[in-house]
Amino acid sequence: MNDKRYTKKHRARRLVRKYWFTFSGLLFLTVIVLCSLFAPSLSPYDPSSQSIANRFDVPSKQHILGTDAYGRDVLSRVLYGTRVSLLVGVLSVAFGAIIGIPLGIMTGYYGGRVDAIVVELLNVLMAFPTLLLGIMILALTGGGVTKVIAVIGFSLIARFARLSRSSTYKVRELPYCEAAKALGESSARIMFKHILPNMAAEIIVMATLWVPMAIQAEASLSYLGLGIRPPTPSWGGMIRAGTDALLYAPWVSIVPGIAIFISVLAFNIVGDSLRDALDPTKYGTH
Amino acid sequence: MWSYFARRILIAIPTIWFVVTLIFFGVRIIPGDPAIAALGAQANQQAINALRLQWGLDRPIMQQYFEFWQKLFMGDWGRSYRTSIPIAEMIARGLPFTLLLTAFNLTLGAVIGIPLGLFVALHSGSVLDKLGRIMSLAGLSLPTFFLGLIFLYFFGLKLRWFPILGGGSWSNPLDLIRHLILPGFAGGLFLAAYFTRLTRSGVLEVMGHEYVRTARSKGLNELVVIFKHVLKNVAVSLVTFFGIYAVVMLTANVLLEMVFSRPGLGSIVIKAIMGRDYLVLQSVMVVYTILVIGTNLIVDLLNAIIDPTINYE
Repeated sequence: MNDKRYTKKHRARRLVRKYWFTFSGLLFLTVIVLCSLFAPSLSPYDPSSQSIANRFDVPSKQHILGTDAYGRDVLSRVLYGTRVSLLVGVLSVAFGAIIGIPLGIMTGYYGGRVDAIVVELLNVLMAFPTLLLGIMILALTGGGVTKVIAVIGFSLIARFARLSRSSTYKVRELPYCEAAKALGESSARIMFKHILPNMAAEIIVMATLWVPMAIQAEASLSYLGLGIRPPTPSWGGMIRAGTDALLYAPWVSIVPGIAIFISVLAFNIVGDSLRDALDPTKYGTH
Repeated sequence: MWSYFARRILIAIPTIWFVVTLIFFGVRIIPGDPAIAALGAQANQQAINALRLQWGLDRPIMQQYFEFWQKLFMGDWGRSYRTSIPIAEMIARGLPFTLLLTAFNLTLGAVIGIPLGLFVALHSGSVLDKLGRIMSLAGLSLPTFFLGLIFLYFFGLKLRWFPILGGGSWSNPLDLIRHLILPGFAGGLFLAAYFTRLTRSGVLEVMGHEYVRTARSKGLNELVVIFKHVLKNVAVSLVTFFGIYAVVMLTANVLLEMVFSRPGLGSIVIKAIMGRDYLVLQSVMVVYTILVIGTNLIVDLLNAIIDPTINYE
């Protein structure tokens, strides 16, 4: 019994030592998710409560990460900001996936003229960086969580569609698809019961790598004043609000910046490790 | 090959037309009225009418659309509502600053990233490779504007090594370079992280090919194998990547220009958004569109020249 336990412990230790990089990413990610879930319990103060007497308080026992221009607790705002970042990151990727994947599978499966037109449109959409698209749309329509998710998600549609289209191309001629066709299965069933599960792993890996991209895009748009509207705490908006006081209160900008860095890095590590597991020769492009 | 070039150019033209048309109508479907949005809710009817007349908003939309194209080709892009400066002049002044910063970012990214990527690929699996992987992942997880802000704080405000505001003067190249260093490195290091990863994966992929083994078995010098056989083949993907990131940096530099108050296209966009100067916003977006599509076109053409396997059909 003892031997068994020793072996298990030993194995676990070896596993952690071998995959310490992946585990560190997972650990960070878990902490970030927990922070967003329990932000109200973890925050020492209400993130919106202002106290002009405490403007730009240096980090102290009362305010571990200091306060901002309105005397709001930076730690509480960063914790609440986790919610916005994760929400935008995950929902915009989901938005892109829900529209992009069926579009990609259908155009890849049927091919023909519609496929050619869709490919050209996707190329146009892909050519435009998310930030430029975001500036164009949000400058005219105004910011807000829903609009930011829609804009980032819209720009991700093309990526999901291209990925699933090229995977469909590879899979549709394989014997099991041919067999399903010969058995008289409907196109919809072949597409979503046979082709989709085959590409699921690849899609999950890329989605994990696109979440941090979406988080960065939200932070950038909020930094420009086009994303999440104040007083809702968002990391990009907090950096923006702190820039004027950078010389004497650098923590107001630097703390949310570090929060962006850690959460984006955590997702990147996990996504990168997942991709490594699929194809170890290729850590590289996304 | 020439017909391929012609076809790519012919595809680029309707793409530009399509996006510019979207921008034109986008500006005009702002809830309410662009003139009211620009002047604010407090403005009286007289001021709103005057601005509508100045912007030509009183005319039928299709007439506005045709006039817009006519003026675009004539170089008459109107005047800024806020400053009354001709928009074409504003863009002509800002564009060189944006292009200079983007070129600096890309050069720095390539100069650091490609040799580093090659180095870690040649030491694949070693501690250096692992360190390279961590550093490059960290590099691309840092938003450029935040890195810029950190540089501004330490090297500008604290150490006072570099100027923190503006873009410098074109008549003084040294001044121009001093203003370029901090934003240039902020964007350049981010790109270097990407270049490192792409070069590493490209080199490792090519190294496994038969022709590399053949070159080695012929007894060729390792340096010749790397430069003549490996890097030459990685070049195609690097050019594509260079193009993609030229476009990304062009727009990401909006943020760096805001951090360092550089007088580029990005600053014009930000001021236009803040001042609800929609004509300026529309014009700068048109310029960005042309830059984005133009860069993609150049990359396609360069790829066609470098890569003999491209199917011109």
